Amino acid sequence: MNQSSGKKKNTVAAALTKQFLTFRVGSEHYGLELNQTREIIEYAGITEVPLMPNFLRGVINLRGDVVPVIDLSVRLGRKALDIQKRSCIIVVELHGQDQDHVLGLLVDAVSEVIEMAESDIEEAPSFGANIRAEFIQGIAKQEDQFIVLLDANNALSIRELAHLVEAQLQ
Amino acid sequence: MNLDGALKTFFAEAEELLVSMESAMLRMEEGDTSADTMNELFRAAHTIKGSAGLFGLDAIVAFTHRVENVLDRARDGKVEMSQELLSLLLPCRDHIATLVAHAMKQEDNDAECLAHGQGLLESLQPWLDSEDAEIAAPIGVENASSDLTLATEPGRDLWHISVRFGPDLLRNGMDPLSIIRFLGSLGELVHITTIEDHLPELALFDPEQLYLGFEIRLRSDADQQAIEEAFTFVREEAELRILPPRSNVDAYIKLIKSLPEFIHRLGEILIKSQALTYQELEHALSTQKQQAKASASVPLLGEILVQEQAVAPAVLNAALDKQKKNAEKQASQESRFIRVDAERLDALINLIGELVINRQRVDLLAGKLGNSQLIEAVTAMGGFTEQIRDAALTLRMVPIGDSFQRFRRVVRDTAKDLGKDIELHIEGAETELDRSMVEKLTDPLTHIVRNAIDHGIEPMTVRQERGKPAGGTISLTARHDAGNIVIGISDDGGGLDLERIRQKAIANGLLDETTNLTRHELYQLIFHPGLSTAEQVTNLSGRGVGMDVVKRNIEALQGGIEIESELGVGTQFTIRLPLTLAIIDGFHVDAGGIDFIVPQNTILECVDLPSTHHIEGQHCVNLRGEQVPFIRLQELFCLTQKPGRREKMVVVQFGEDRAGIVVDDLHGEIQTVVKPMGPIFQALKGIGGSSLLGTGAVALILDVPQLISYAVNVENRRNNSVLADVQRSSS
Amino acid sequence: MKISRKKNRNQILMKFDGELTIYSAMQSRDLIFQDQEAWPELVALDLHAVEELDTAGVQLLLLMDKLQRARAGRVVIDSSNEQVDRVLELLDITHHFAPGVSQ
Repeated sequence: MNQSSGKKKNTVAAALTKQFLTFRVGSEHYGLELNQTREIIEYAGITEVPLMPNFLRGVINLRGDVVPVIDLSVRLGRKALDIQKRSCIIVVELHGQDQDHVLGLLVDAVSEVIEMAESDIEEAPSFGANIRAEFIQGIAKQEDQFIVLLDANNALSIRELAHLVEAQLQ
Repeated sequence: MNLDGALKTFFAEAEELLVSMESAMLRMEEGDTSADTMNELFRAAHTIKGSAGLFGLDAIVAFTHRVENVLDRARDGKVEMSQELLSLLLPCRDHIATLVAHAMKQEDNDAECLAHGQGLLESLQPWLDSEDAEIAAPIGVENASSDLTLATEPGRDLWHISVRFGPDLLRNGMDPLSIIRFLGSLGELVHITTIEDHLPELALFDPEQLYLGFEIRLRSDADQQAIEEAFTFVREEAELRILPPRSNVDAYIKLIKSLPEFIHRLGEILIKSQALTYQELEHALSTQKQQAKASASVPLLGEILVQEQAVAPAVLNAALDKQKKNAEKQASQESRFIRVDAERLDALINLIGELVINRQRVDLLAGKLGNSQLIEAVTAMGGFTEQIRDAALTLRMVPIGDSFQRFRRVVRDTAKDLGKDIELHIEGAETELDRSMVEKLTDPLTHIVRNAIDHGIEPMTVRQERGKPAGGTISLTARHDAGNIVIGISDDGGGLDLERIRQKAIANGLLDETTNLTRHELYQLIFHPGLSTAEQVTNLSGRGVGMDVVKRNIEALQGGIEIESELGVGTQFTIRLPLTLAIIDGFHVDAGGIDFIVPQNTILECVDLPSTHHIEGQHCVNLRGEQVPFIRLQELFCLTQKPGRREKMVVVQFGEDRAGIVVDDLHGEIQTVVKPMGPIFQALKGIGGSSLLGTGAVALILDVPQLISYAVNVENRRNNSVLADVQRSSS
Repeated sequence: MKISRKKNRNQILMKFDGELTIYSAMQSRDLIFQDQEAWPELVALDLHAVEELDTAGVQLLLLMDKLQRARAGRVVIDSSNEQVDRVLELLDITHHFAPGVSQ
């Protein structure tokens, strides 16, 4: 398996690169496909929605649209995030079957955009990682840092999130 | 090219006309014999035929023409609109609708379709007299060109139509061929001369410009107005001259003189088409020359035509005037409607929504600045904003009656197929609701109505045994109720058999023998997928659209559906839908640190809540002698408690009763744009959307009925009976 | 619309394939007349694959005829189909394209 940065990529592999937005949640680094992220905004207050499960922090006003904000840490099975100086919200747009869905993700800090050749993305390990396997698209290594590349369609599946909300309200 | 726009308009109008034809025929079946209805029916068919002709939709023209003939004869009293004829005409109308639909989707009419049409026309034969049956194009031609034979009979007892179209005719989406074919449908095209004189050199040729003119000789019994109608859409830019049959030589000479092409050329054309003989032409032209010599003035080409010919334009003008007057008269008699692009309307409403939000910000800022003149001006502006908002919103509302009316046909046909006699009773047709909801309601309503016809209303013999009238009744009702529209579908049929439902549920494993369910809960089982209590799933209602889908559709509209039934007496479905207007009037409150909005139209009053009521477990207050139960939002939503404040209560209408919603603070009336919260919040009860305040903060809009239901459920689980009693007595 | 050409010493056979209507009138004009300077005395048309002929298409045909006649040549319709025939008959312009007949 090839390691990532620093190596010269051949032209074929170079053609198959993907861009990812990387960010930090807790002590771990994650990435989302750049073409699914719409923008990054500062955390400037959030309106709570009553009776919602922990992963749903509330909603925000995004230039006239009301967008739900998900605590990615809780969604990935860890504890809720505290709001820090660099906390921000990544606005994500997912294309569903009949409609597009816009979500906000609460994260600790946003890092940078990286470009990865398909061949440099490793498969998720089948053990050890305490995140659901289907949430992970792959693992990338960037200067000694492991970045968990998320599969947004699974990790942020509206259907599943809606079910979780429903279950909470029963 | 303008084609798309004009064509779209044609299809939209054709659909409306088809609806009105059906409606007229159904009324006639039920005994309406008025001339108005007959005329309405005829005019609709006539207009469809005419417009289709202009767009070259010849299959539609050919078929509709025959139908129109029958209707024309009926209008003149030559045939009677018997039940038998009406039963034939309804499928004819359906066939026209099919042809229009095919044209709209640009599909071909396949052999089966054409054969069907042919069959229908053959069955109309007895009502057409021999004349009508012969003239007009045979149907069943795939490629839409009619079979028009050009006879060669001589004579001047033909119409002579001379036309030079405007150069942009082709660009505007029309084609002379369609107009010519249409003329052919009025009679027999005896001769056509295509005037190509104006085709330019290749270098100057514009392929999209029309250079051709036509001299047409037509045998027809139609009147001048009918012939002119063929040219309605192109009149403005066309040079049109119509000579009635038996126009004399002079008339033709004048025609020649008024046309732009070379005189002899025209003369030749007329000779060739046998309007004139060679001698007549020579004679006339030489006479003119002599006259010119005598008077030493050159008679102008294009001179005003002689008496007979002069009649033609005058007749034309008079006819045009008459047409205009008729159109005006009709317009003032009916209400004036204009067609509006739905997307433009939505765009407008969105803009108004933004305006509303902005106005609130301006209000806030003006208040902060404290300038009284500014505040006054802003308040006045607010008043206008409200009016604009209301006006825009009413544009989106349509009366539900339009949807209800469509069910007449469904009920009639379905009942007939099943051999049942069922009458549809409609009430509250003028109740209005948002356009978008109407479309989404059609499927669930259709399913319920079909169920009622199929399984609800018993066969006549059974009804008679039960001492009921042989004919069954299905009622569709609609009314407004506190921010909701309430739609009722009821029948006087056999009712729902609770026992059978129970047995079926047990058989399907949904229930076990020992479980005891209330009536209400048993009825709710009907909405469970996979539970159909009909012995056979008939084609009509068992199309894989079960009651569970109906319920889901209604819930997707944030509404609810209830059933009430009595065995042997009948069944009633009640659908409740919130009027999700894009902008609503609300009352801004806050509780537990969150901003909420209570829809204004549910609010009766706001009062302070005495601190003595800040007792856990006590949820009722005495308001001017009446016990009013209340909900504390903080408690219900498990929000952080604010200690010791004086609480406020918003008293709202809830069904027939009142209830209170207790909050921390009141902030006054606001207008607010309803922003959907998205599918993640689908299951959230009590909140029906969100909104943006002037500060930019998000406020949650309360859905009062849902909120109270939810509160009752919570109470029930805690076995507190006060609110629950209120709930039961008001449902 | 597509055109295929077969040329020999004193005639050119042009086969029109597709719709000859207003919708493609501009391109059709270019396609048809692109080699008009080299047209021989006889231009023969195979129209049996013409899916639809409308007035714009008719104008193009008439223009071809006009061009040829100005050079003492002619345009002849070799083969046709029902729809095309109906249109030409309706407008009474078949004489432009009949073999051996001069206006």
